[in-house]
Amino acid sequence: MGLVGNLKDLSITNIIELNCVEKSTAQVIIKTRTGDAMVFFHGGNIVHARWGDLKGTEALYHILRLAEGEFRVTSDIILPERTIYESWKGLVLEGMRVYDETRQTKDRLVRDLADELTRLPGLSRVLAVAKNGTLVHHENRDDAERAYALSAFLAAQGAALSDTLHLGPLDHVTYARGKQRELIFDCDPFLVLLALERAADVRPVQALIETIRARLKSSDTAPAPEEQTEQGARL
Amino acid sequence: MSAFLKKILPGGGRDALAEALEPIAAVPGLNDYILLDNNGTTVARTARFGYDEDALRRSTDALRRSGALLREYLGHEANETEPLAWRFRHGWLLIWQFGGASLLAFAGEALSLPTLRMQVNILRSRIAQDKRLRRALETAPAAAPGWWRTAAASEQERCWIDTVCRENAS
Repeated sequence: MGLVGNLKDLSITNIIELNCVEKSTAQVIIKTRTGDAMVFFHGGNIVHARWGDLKGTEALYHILRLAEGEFRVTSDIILPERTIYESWKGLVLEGMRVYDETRQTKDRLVRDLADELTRLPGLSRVLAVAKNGTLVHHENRDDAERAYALSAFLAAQGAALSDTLHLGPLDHVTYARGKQRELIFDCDPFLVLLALERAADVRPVQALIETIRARLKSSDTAPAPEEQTEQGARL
Repeated sequence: MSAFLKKILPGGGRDALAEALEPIAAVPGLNDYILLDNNGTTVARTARFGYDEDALRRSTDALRRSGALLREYLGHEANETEPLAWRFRHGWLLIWQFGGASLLAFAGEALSLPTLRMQVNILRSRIAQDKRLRRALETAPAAAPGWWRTAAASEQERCWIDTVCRENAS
């Protein structure tokens, strides 16, 4: 039995460092909602990575972005192939650089599209927040943090319900607020909260949300693995 | 058992509640509904219910916390006739609160939300006007006799409840 844990407690970069410094020959398997992500080590070097259809450094850069997920490190491995030849330090640094660049691009994309949303008729509020808690676009309202907390909670509950009841990915959450309705759209890795007059046409909003989602997806250097299963993240 | 007791005891009230829920099952686009009480016990549901009831029961606490957090956030702007709704790729999950109980509706893309909202509001006003429906919602099936005595509207009702409790105990 090798090392078992969750990336929330031990980051993927720490796991890589540990295996490379110890000159290990091992395999890390991370359970994700989109299937197993795997990194292979041989004699302290990263030699192969795979996640969904992605392989090599492309897969590794995506794996480096994982912030949670149960993992298992095993030393009893059969190396399927070698796809990575670079030094592990260079790979981690480059992965972080790509991650930062992508995140900044995504922040900008969401901010610009949130500006566009505010110009739609019948829309009185737009709040965009990264799922890690960073406010990307907001107005000067006292309840911005409470609105974010609620959005994050309801979106997380939606994801849990989806896992349990096999309802597919969450599109949005909605409820009435006085004479308005509020909608929380899941634009992974962001949540976009909107307040809309009850009688307002929601279609232009949905069209812009779809644009946000499409641009976020295409801003990845390579798309993250498509959803393959609805299994929970448990080994 | 007397007709009066059938009316006031949970079983009778729950039968009436299930009957009152029937029009909801006929709403276009609605796949299933389920009414869960505070303990996560099923009060009523569609006969064809196709979702995992045990999994839903395990989610009851999370659903209740979602509703509570939303009500706290909305404050005086909360509107109990409107549902909290999650839209998934494969359809809708909508939740209304009825006192301590939760009505969960599962629907496809073709859901007629105005029709569903209207039917739920009719149900809500029926519950408001009918004491035994309210009792069926507010009380778990195994409620203590003491609760029933407290809830009884008259001395006659209290006597009936005492009689039934004695009969059940013997």
